Amino acid sequence: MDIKLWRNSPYPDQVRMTDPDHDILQALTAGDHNALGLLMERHLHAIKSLAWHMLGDEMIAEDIAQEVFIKAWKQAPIWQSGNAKFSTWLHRVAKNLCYDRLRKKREVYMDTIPEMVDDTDLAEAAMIMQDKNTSHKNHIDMALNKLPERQHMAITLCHYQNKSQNEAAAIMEINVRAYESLLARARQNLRKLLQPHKKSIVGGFGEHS
Amino acid sequence: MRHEQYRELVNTYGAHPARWPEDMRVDALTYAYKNPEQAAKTNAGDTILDKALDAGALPKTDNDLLMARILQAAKETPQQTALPIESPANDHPTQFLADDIKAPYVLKWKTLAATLLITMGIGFGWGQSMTDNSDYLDAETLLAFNNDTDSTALTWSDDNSGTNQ
Repeated sequence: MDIKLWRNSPYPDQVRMTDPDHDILQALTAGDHNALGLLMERHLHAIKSLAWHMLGDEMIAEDIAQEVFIKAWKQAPIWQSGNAKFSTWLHRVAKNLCYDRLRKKREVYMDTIPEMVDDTDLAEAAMIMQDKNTSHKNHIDMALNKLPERQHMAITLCHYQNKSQNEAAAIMEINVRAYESLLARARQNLRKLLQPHKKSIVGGFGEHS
Repeated sequence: MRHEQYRELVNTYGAHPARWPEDMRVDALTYAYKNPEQAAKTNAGDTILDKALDAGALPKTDNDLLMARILQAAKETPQQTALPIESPANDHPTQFLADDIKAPYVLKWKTLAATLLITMGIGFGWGQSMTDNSDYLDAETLLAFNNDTDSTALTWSDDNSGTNQ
C-alpha cells in the first residue's frame, strides 16, 4: 500500500548530514529488524552502562536498555530529530527512565531529599563508608550514589560515557554552562565523600577550588 | 591560559586531557607544558579521583542474550505509523487551493455558514424572547414612536402648508 507520509524525512538537512545513525534510522523506519540489531551493536553497551552507573543494578540496567530500544523501534517512523542526533535521543530516553526509577526508589525510602548534598550529608556518608569494611569499588559506588541525580548523571556522561560537553548537555537538556557547573560540583562532592579513604585511594585529593 | 582557568578546567573535567573540551585543550596543554610544576600540583588530586572513578566502570559484558531478548520483543511490538497527508492535523492555509484537498475545505465553509446562520437565528430568537415578557415596555415604545411620527407629520404638514402658501 502506497501511503503518502506526513513528512518525507525525519531529519533536518544539517543533522542528516552528520548523524552516523541516519542509514539505520531509515531502515528502522521501513520496519527492518536487522537495523535494530545494528543499532544495538553501536549503542547497547553505552545505554546499559549509563543505566548501570545511575542505578547500580545490572538487571534493572538491562530492563532500561530494553525499554529504550523498544521505544526506538516503535517510534522510528515518527521520530523527529529537532537538532539532536538519534544517539542523543536514545541517551535522553535512558536518562529519563533512570530518573523515573530513582524517584520511585526515593518515594519508597524517604519523604524528601535535598537537591544539593550539604556538609552534614557528606560527613554522614563518609562515616558510614568508614565504618563499613567495604572495598575500594564500593566506596566509589556509595559516593556516586550519594550525589544528587543530576550531578551523578553529569559525572557518568563525562567520565564513563566520554561524551563531549555539547553532547552531554544536549542529553541532559540543559546548557553547557549548567552542565559544567553540575560536573564541577559533582567532583567537589566526590572529593569530600572519598576524603576519609584517601589512604586506600592513594594519596588523597590535592588542589581544588 | 591563566592558572585559575587551568585549575577550573581540571576541577570540572578531571586531569585527563581527552575529557577536556576541544576548544580549550590546546591552550590547557600549552599551559601545562610551560608550567609543569603548577600543573602537576593541580592535576594530582584530580588524577587520583579519575583513577578512583575508573574503578567503578562497568566491565565490558556479553550482551548477546540481551540483544536477542530485545529483538524478540521488537518482533512482537508494532511500530507507530506516520500520519497520512489526508489527516486533519496536516491542514494548512497554503494547501487551501490544492485540488485534492479542495473538497474538504468547501465542506468546512458550508458547515461554517450553516453554523453562522443558526447562531444568528438563535440570537434573534433570544432577543425576541427578552421582549416577550415586557408588554408594558413594548406598548410604551410603540406609543412613543407613534407620537414622534405624529409630531413629525404635523411639523411637516405645517411647513408644507407654509410653503404652499
